[in-house]
Amino acid sequence: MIVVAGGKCVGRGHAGIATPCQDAYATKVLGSVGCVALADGAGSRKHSDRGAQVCVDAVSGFVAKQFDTLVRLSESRPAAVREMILQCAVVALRRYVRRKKYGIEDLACTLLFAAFKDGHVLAGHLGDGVIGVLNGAEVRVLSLPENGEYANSTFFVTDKGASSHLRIYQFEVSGSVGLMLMSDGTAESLFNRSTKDLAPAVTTIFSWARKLPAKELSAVLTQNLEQIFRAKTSDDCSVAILVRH
Amino acid sequence: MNEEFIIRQQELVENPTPRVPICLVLDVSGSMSGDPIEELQEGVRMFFDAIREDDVAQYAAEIAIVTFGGVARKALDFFAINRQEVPPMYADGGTPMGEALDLSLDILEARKTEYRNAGVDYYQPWMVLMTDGAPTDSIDSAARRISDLVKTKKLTVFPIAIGGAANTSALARLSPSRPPLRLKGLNFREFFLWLSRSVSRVSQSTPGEEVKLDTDGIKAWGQV
Repeated sequence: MIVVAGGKCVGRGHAGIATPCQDAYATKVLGSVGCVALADGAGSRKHSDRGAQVCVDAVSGFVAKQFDTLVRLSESRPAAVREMILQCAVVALRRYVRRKKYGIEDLACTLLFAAFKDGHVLAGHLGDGVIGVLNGAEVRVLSLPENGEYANSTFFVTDKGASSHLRIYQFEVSGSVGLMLMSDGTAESLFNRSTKDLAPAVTTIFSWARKLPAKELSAVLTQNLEQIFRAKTSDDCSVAILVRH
Repeated sequence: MNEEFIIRQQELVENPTPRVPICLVLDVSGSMSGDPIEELQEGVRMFFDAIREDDVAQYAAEIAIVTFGGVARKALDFFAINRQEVPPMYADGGTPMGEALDLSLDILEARKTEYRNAGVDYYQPWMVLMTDGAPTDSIDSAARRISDLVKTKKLTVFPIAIGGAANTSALARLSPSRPPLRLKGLNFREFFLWLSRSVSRVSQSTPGEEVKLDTDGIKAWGQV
């Protein structure tokens, strides 16, 4: 059984200036494929909250539908997979701005996704945030943040040369598996930047997926983001998880 | 919420606050004696106090001071601001600005290396140069280094002229992206309060966020 869930909340820094939450996530289950996607809109871009949502909706749907093709290609032509994912995101963003008075640069956002089907995992990551993976009893980092030199810099799907920063992961697993996507705001609580390890809370959150249905799990994740994680950062916080048990 | 589904604080990690390294490069040559050096000292003290009172900046801002008056020297090294004291400043000697700027660039670079080695994130470093005169040594090397760093967005530099005798053409060579500003009278306090607010904004910025300077606030202390 695959459980997908997520939550998000506006950061203290944004709440004070009436800026919407610029993080977005999407979950998708299509037959035996489960997929989660998460994006963090660029701080100064006017409509990056919408860009993040458009991006995760498009990419989660695309990856869920094209899972088998993407997994097959990721072994022989990983560059093609990167291009297909980015193309999907950029086309969706272009479609969104068609009748707007701004360009897709105003929708800039990072991108994280993870999908699972029949023992195969496919994941991708562009920019900051972290992807964690649980396999059996082991929890580890699958993908590290890519920030550039400074704390307030990272890479976005709308950047020139974005495909060189999109990292694709494909591997097989047996038994239960969990995948967790987190924005940089959430990573402040769940990822140790010095040791590159995940916090014990990641294991705890994965364990909740065995006890709660998706809807309740999403509510619990949102409450924890609002009450616990938000206190440790001024940034927006979001998390999306996929667990197969 | 059911307590079983609440994350406990001890299950989370503690990450260090990303740092904003700031180097104040201050002219303490003989011409600064009297009111200018006293007002400068008081302005720096207010800067430290304002940073200490800011919830985020007090953990993010790290300040070093390089003075130049006769010789260039590191008067204060980077450290947690709550454990720093503003050093006393005395006006004396010539204006070895080039040497002071090179020293400042060296210590900023060294600090960034220390952050990287310790796994501490950091923001673009800031350099604030304040002078009431003209350099008595060559600033060629420093001007070249600063220009390269500013063009590649690796340094934010604020050259500030104090009084009418400051050589603004020399300062312009050190500020490729914006014209140097002249302090109105001895408004050091207003300048340093503005600087503390700017540091506070940077220390709370998130990826992709362009931090715009409070240009209206500049009018309270400076002019082009």
